[in-house]
Amino acid sequence: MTDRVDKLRSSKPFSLLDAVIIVIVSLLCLVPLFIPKKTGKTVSVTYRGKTSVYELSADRIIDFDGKIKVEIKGGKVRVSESDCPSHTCVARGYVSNAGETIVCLPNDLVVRVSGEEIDAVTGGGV
Amino acid sequence: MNSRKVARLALLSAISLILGLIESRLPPLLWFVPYVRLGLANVVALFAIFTDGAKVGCFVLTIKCVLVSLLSGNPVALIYSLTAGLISYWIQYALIRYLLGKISVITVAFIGAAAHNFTQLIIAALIVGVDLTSLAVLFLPASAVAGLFTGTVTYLLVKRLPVSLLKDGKTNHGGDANERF
Repeated sequence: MTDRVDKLRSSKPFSLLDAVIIVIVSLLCLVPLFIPKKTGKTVSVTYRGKTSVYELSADRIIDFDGKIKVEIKGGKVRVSESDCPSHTCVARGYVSNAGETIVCLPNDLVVRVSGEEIDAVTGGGV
Repeated sequence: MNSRKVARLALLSAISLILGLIESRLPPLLWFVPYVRLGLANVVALFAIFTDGAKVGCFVLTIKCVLVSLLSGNPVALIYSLTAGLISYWIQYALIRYLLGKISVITVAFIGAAAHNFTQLIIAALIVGVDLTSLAVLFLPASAVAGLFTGTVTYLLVKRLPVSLLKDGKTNHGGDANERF
């Protein structure tokens, strides 16, 4: 009875079926692109546990203790400056669709775009 | 379980752990996509499926995830890495067990890497509420390429290493086609 080691050593490394599978899976990866998106209206920023909500329609820059800055411009939001080591948050760029977020773990910051109007009771929507 | 088996398991775990620690210190593959790494440590677990069977590979993977997260000082990462690792591992095991002759290890590792990172995205979405779409488009292809690489490495290891290293018929019979975990 052959076992897996023998089987691998005696079979071809790559075949047509493999190429087909890889192509199909790669195409599946593109599916997320086609999900319909809602434009965001407000953004909630949670810094160190405290959340504040802003309208995306008003351009502004919000500075958190001088360590990290969030900029709203032209209906979109981004992290414009940060003192974190990897700057992944800055590299994310602008987001504007409902549900999109930017996270900076070292600074404990979560920026979340919402498609709802500011709700006076809960302070945020979606 | 005899002492040779324990020693072998320990050796595989140590190799995987060291690879995992080195990888965790290096920057991610693409600087703007966090947490996507080459996944060299997973080569060991995949390799173990061939040489020592499902249980050993699973053990190696679990040990690696737990210890890397503790030793690199990032325990939160454990939720992501262990869940994604186990799901990806068992998917890869099922593919190998049932489709080995027809599908290449390279493809198995490719699917495994895609599954691993897809799981991480799902967990991130559930816990933090990150949206999947714009990140996913970059994330998945990058991880898939990493999968092709680890698959190739695993293939070369199993194919080229001397058979006496891979199995010795006494303590490990290679991953048995009829094993029941």
